Formats: sequence, structure tokens, C-alpha cells
Amino acid sequence: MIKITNLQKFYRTEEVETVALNDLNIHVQEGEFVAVMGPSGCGKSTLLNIIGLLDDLDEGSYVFNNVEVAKFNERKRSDLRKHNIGFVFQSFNLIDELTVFENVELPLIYTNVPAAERKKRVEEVLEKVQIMHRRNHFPQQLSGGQQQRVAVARAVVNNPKLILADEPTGNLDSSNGNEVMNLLTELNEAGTTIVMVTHSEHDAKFSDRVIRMLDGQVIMETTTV
Amino acid sequence: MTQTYFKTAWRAIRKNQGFTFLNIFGLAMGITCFMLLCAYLVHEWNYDRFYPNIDRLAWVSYGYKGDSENEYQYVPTTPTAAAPTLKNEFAEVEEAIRLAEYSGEGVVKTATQTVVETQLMLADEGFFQVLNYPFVQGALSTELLSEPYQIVITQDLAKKYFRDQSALGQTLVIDNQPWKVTGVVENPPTNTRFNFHAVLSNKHLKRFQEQVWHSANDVTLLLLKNADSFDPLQKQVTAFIDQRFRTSPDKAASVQVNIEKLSDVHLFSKAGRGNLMYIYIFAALAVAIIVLASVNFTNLILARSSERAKEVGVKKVLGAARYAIFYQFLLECALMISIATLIGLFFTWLLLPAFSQYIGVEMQLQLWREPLFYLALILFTVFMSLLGGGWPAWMISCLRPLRILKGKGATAKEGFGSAKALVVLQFCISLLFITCTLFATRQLQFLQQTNTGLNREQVIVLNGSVLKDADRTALKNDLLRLNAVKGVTASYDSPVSVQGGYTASDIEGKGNDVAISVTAIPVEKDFLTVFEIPIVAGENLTEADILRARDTSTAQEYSFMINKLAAQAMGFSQDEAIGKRMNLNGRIGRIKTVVDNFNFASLKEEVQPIVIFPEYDYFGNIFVKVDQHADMAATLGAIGASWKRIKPDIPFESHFLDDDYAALYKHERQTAKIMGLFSGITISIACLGLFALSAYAAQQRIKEIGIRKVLGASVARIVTLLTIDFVTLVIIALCISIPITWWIMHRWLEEFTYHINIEWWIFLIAGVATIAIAFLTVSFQAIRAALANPINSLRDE
Repeated sequence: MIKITNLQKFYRTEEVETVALNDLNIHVQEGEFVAVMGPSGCGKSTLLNIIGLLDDLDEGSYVFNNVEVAKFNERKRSDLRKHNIGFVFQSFNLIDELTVFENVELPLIYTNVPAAERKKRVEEVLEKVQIMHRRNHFPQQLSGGQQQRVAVARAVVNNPKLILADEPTGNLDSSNGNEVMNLLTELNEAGTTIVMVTHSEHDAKFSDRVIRMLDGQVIMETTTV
Repeated sequence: MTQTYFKTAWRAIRKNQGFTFLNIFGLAMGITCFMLLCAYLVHEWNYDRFYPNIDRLAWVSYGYKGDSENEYQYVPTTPTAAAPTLKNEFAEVEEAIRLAEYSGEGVVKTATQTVVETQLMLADEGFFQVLNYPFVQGALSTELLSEPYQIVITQDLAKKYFRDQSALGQTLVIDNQPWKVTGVVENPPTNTRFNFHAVLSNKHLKRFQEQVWHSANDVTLLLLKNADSFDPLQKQVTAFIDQRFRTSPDKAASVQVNIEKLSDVHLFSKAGRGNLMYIYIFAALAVAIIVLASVNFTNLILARSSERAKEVGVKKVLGAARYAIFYQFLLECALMISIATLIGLFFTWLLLPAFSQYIGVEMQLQLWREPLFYLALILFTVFMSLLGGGWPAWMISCLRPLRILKGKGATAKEGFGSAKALVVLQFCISLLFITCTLFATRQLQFLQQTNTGLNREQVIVLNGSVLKDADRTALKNDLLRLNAVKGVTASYDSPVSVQGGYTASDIEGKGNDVAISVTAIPVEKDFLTVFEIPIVAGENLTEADILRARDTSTAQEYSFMINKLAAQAMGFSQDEAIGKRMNLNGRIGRIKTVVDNFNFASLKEEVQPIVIFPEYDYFGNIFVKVDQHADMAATLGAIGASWKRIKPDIPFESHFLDDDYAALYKHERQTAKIMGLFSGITISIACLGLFALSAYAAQQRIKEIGIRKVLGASVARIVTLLTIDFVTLVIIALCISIPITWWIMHRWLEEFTYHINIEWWIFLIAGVATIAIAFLTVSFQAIRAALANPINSLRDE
């Protein structure tokens, strides 16, 4: 599903050029659950952002579902993103002004799903993450675990082929963290590909494969199963 | 999707109530000012334009000049012959009517009360047909004013005198003469020059039956057969007048009869009362205020944009396109702007009467009856939304999702940079207003204090037009007995604004063909004494001069008093002029006195030659000079008591001559007042923006402030750090505004022959005051930030 070859990414300021990702190669098969690990500043999040088409790559190739997307413009990226990729962030990134229901509904609005259909799908997914009873609450009224469940619900409501999770349990206690990890595992078992950046060895155990990075390069890949 | 946008917008507005309030309130204030000014502009612009026949209505003005003059002097009135001549001689003219002020006292007596009615007009019978005027009782016809002592009154007057009864056929007693009511018309709106309470038939007056070409005292109004015959008619009339006056004995003067569109008279005519320049000033003021308020709005939205960055980032990650974000924020701004517009509309409605009183222009607008008004309102809201919301919405929609989600503060800094540029613009406009107001106020003060050559202090003006000769003499003798009264005199019109255009001819020793156009004024004997006009040659009038002037035999001779300029114009030195014979429009006499030059018109104009002469036919004003140590209230009471003894049936009315003088600068005063008001408002709006912006800046730098404090910075240093940026902006604005203000004021002051110089210290005062206000505004936030415990801000991390 994802085939990245010879990826280079630099950050430039007026005086220095920092290499964020250096000649990186990654393959992710459809239906895989991959964890990306490494110390802070090793380039995990940059990689995730490039996979999610939130960031450009400077050199190399990125093939998503057999299409070369490295040179896509903003509009095409946005289009590809909204139909294929769901995001889960460490800090949840729910919109404070919207209720749980409305937050989850948002991706469906951007893909022009009719209102009745939206309602059905949002309710389904809220049932699935067991937050239906809080559908009319605002994010600030929920616990961290609940917020992250909403974020996961939002990520999957469009039935994306790929979920990108950036330290999804980073802001959660262990029981809430486990809940979220179980949720991701269920989604993976249902066929969704997941790429997750994490610091936690515990969380990494939920994945099929762990990619370890250092200084912008992949140093080791291990299979957990 | 729109529904979701609305929902988000509404919640965002509710979430930041303080911010929203400041933003909406500032904008609503601006919109209110804008709408009030627009009301004024609409009022002036539509002056007389609502008459159904307006495209065919013509106003006839009259221009004349003496041989020695280069320019025509225009008056909005015409001689009695103009209307009938134009109607009879020119096929293009469907109807021509004359209109004059009723010259009687206007005392209306009923069983219970005695009232002096003003705004009574005398008109030819075609008046209402020409205007196609709406009737409430009776119907439009030429019979309404065709007989002597017929009267058509307004609804208000009908209600006042006849209550709920029909006024038709009833009688109204004016100056002891019964007038028969033949119609009741709607009250005229405030923006017409035919602002009457009643229109009286002129058939009882001889002068309307005689057609003469001198004495231009009537308004002449024409209804043309079709709208495009103005130019051809003007050509024919000019040719006709040339022909008519070629053989005139009054060959010294040439005459022009101008056919002007009534719709243009108020603003564009040389004879009009309105002034186009002030329309431009007010329009500029309105535009400036609305721009200022929009800028403020934009500024606040931009400054807070980073707070919305996360939302934008998330939405973009979830697939929102840029236009969707733009649309959402535009909608949010539009929502706030709509609320502000509604508030503004409400306040405009509430404040219009007060505003109209404040600027001294009576305005009754019924715009809400017009469908166009609502369209304009909708267009205004859309326009404002694009103006105030377009840019911030665009800036916000440009935010890069990744940068935001990484917490890099997005474009807060960029937004802030633009906000600063906008602050400069705001203060530039505010400073412009403030400095212009200061200059205008100083000029008006200068006009009021300038020694115009006649002493108008402590002079009370009484209505002389209602007193016959004997009454006036009795009143004068009565008043002179009061200790507080130093002198009493009378004149035809006010000495601060003498209107009469005359010709001095047959000047002794200068040949028969020399004629000089002069201003002249009939006066009572003590005129020079009361106004303390210095005599430079000859002597003051005596009783003997008066008797000679009033002689009805061939021995009649006038004693003329002229000013130095008139002597000069006649080619005499001051002393040579004394005793010279001359003819002033048929009045034969000798020059008895040469007086110093004094201003008898607005200081916009240079002093002109004037002839002052004793003629006791008509005195419009009686002047009572009161001792400066006297108790004014008691003196007025005593004068009133004297009046009551002599003229018991006419209410006593008085005002100060200084008020007449001030009235010469009504437009200027109005403008200065409006400018003063709006400069106060603009600076408030600008400060409101600055206040919010500084709060935001302090909040943005809270960590920096914490660190600086931990490192030992004093409160004063931190306050300086936070305020210096904003104060610099105001200084930049000051530098930009100075040359612009200088140019505008230079142009304005050039209108006056006598004016102040553009003084640098006025800029200094305006600058220092504005900087002080800006500093106070900003320092409030800065001090708050500087006094906060640094631990709190650092712990946030």
C-alpha cells in the first residue's frame, strides 16, 4: 500500500540545513499494523506527516496504492487524504467548538456524504468506540481517554484504508491507553492498515512489525508476531 | 455544510464573549456613525428631488454686474416681471409662478390664543400644480389661490387651529385679516426649499400686478413642457434679456437670467444654500469611519487568528479545502458584521433626532418605507463582510495544517504584522480628524474674535419688521430711559450681513457714465454711534439729515455715508469725498461721512464699498446696545416690558447680534462640530482596537515577560517593552498624517479671505494627545502583564 524509496527531507533555516530523513525506504502492506519507534528528533513524526501527505518530501518517491503521489499539489493531496487516510494525534486535536457528534461528522461533511447517511455512520462508529452516550458533549467535558476514542472514531468514520496514529496514548493513563490500543487492533483486524508512531514498547507490542529509526534513517525492523 | 459553519461560527462568537463584544461594539459604533452621516448625505442629496415633476422644474436666478465689475453677483430671487414674461414669451414654459415671503407680522388670533406664525409664503395660483403637491383636504386646482385672501395650509397647521374639524372653507385670521382656507396639504419634508407652514394668495398685493424688472425679491419657479428644453430655453432667454436691456436706462448694469434645474439648485447653484464641499467632506468622513471600523474588525480577527489555528489545522487534515475554510471564516465574520449592522441601525434610529439637533439640520427621514433601503442594507452587510472579513478569512485559510498541529503558532506573527500596519492606518485617520478639528475650531474662534470694524458686543436684536415708524420711535424713547441701554438704532438688514446691491451713479466730478456697484443699507440715525464705526472724514447724521431725507418735496436730499473703499472706488480721497453729490438708485444726495472699512459680510469675502443712508421706509432689525456692566437678564426683561406696552399683541422675541454673526459660519460650525464628534469616535474606535491588540500582544509574550522578570527586569522596563511598539506605530501615523492634514487645511483656509496660519503647535498638541491616549490604552494591559507572577506563565510550559 505504501512504498517509499530513497526519501530525503531537509529543514533549512538561513544558516543551517538539518537532514530530517535520510535516504529512507519503507514498505507497508495493506492490512498491516506497523509501529515506528525511535528517540525524540529521529524523524518519526516527519515520516508520518509525509505518509499522511501533510508534508512535502524533498527527494525520493512515494507510491500510495500504486500511484506516485510525491508531486501531488495541495488540492490532490487533500482529496486523497480525505478519502483514504484517517489521523489520530497525541493531543487528540478535537475542535472545542463542536460536540462529539459534530467532530466525528466533520470528515463526512468534507466528502459530501448526505446528512441522513452521515447520521447513521456517525452513530455506528460512536457505538463502536462506546461513546454514544456522550454524543452531545463538548470535548472539554470528556476525559482524555474518551477524547481519544472520539478522535479514533473521527479517524475511521470515513472508512479510510489507512490510519496514521501519532503517539495515540501519549497523553493517556495506562488503562485508557490500553482501551485505545485495543480499538486500533480491532480496526486493524477488520482490515484497516495502521501506521503508528510511539515511544511505548508496550503499545508497539500491539503491532505486527516495528520499525526503529535513528537520525532520520531506519536502523532496524522487527516482526512482533 | 453551511449549517455546520453557522453552528461553529455562533459557538466561536459565544465562546470569546469579551473579544466578540469589543469587536462587534467597535464595528457597531462605526456603522452608527457611518449611517448617521449617510442619513445627512441622503437628506442633502435628495433636496427637492422628490417632487414628481422634478425633471421639468426650473429655478430662475438673477445675476447682475456693474460696468466696473468683472463678475456677476447672483441672487436666488428675480423681479416680479420675470415669471409672467417667461411664461408669455417662451413656448417651452408650461407654467411660471412667483413665490415670496409673507412680509406681515404673521400674528394669528384665535378665540383662545395669539401666535406668531412663521414660514408663511405668498404665491401665484399655479404653485401647487407646478410642484404637483399632495393634498390632504381639497384638491389640486388653479382656484386655490386665485382670489385675494385665500390660503392653503399644512396638515400641522390645520390640526393646530381646527383640530379634528375639516379646515376647508374655514377662516384663519392673520394680522387681523381673515383668510379663507381652500386646501390642506401634507407637511413639506425637511429637505426642500419650499418649507412652508401656509401658502397665501398674493392677489391682494399691488406689486404682484405690476411687472417691473428692478428689485429682485421673488422666487420664480418654472414648469417646462419637457425635460430637455433647459438648454434651448436658457439660450432664448439670454438673447431675449440682451435685447430687452440693450435700450434700458439702467445701462450701467448688465443682467443675467439663469434657468437652473431645481434638482441642482441646493448643491450646485451659485445661488443655492447648500455647499457641495461639505457634502464631500461628510462623504469622506463617512468612508473614513467605515474603513476605520472595518480595519479594527479585521485587526482583531487577525490578531486572534492563531487561537483558531488548531481548528483550521484539524479541518485541513480531515480534508477541508482552502475555500471551505475561507468560506467558514467569512461566514463567521459576516455573522458578527450582521449583528453589528443591526445594532448600528438601531442606534442610528435612536440617535438621528439628537444628531440632527447637534448639527443643526432638521432631518426627518422615512427611509424604511423605501424597498431600496433594505437592498442597500443587504449590500452594505455583504460589502462590509468582504471588507472586514475577507482578508482575515483568507489569511486564516492559508494556514499550513502541519505547522499549526506542530504548535508553531501558525501565522500569528504575520497576522500581527498586518494588524500593526492597520493600526497605523487607523491612527492616521484619527489624527487627521483631530488636527482638522483643531484647525477648524481655531479658525472659527478667530472669525468670532476678529475685530470686523463694528462693535457687535452686547447688542440685542429685535424684530423691526412688525413695528411702524411711530411704534419704533416710541420704543426707542422708552428704551433709552433705561440705565442699562446705551443706544438704540435700526437698519434694513443685519449689519453683519448686508445684502442690498445698489448702483452709485452721477457722481459729482466723475462724469455721467461712471457707475459703481456698491452694497448699501438703509439705516436709522444712530447707526454709526451704536456700532461704534469710526468716522474718518465728515460728520455723523443729525436730525436735520433725517428730515431732509424724509422730505417728500423736491427739497428731498439724502446724506450718504460711505466707507473708505467706496471713496477710493469713486476716485476720491477721504476728504475730497465729503459733500460730493451722487445718485443711489434714484436717491439723490451728498456724501456726508466717510467711515472706516468694516466687514459687513462673511470673512470669506473681502470688504467691499458700501453706502449707508438714512431711509425710514422699512427696518428689519432694531438694535439695542446694552451696557457691559448691566444685568442682561433684567435688561432683557425691561426691554420685553417696553415692547409689550407698545406692541401688546405681538410676542416679544430677541436674540444677540453675535448669533447673527455666528450664523454666517453655520456650515463651518456644523462641519467643525461633526468633525469634533467623529474625531472623538474615531479615536475611541482606534483605541478599542489598540486595547484588544495590546492585550493580545501581552498574552503572546507572556512567557518572555516571565523569563525577563525572573532575570530581574523591573515592572517599568517591561511596561516600556510592551508599550513602545504601539507608541511607535502612533508616531509613524502622526508623521504620515501631518502632510495630508497640512494640504487639506491649506485648501480649506484659502476659502477665507481672513484666516489663521497653519501653526505647527496644533500638530504637536494633536500628536501628544493621541500618543498619550494610545499610551494609556496600551499601558493598562502592559502593567497588568508586568505585575503578573512570572511563575504562573512559566509553569504553563
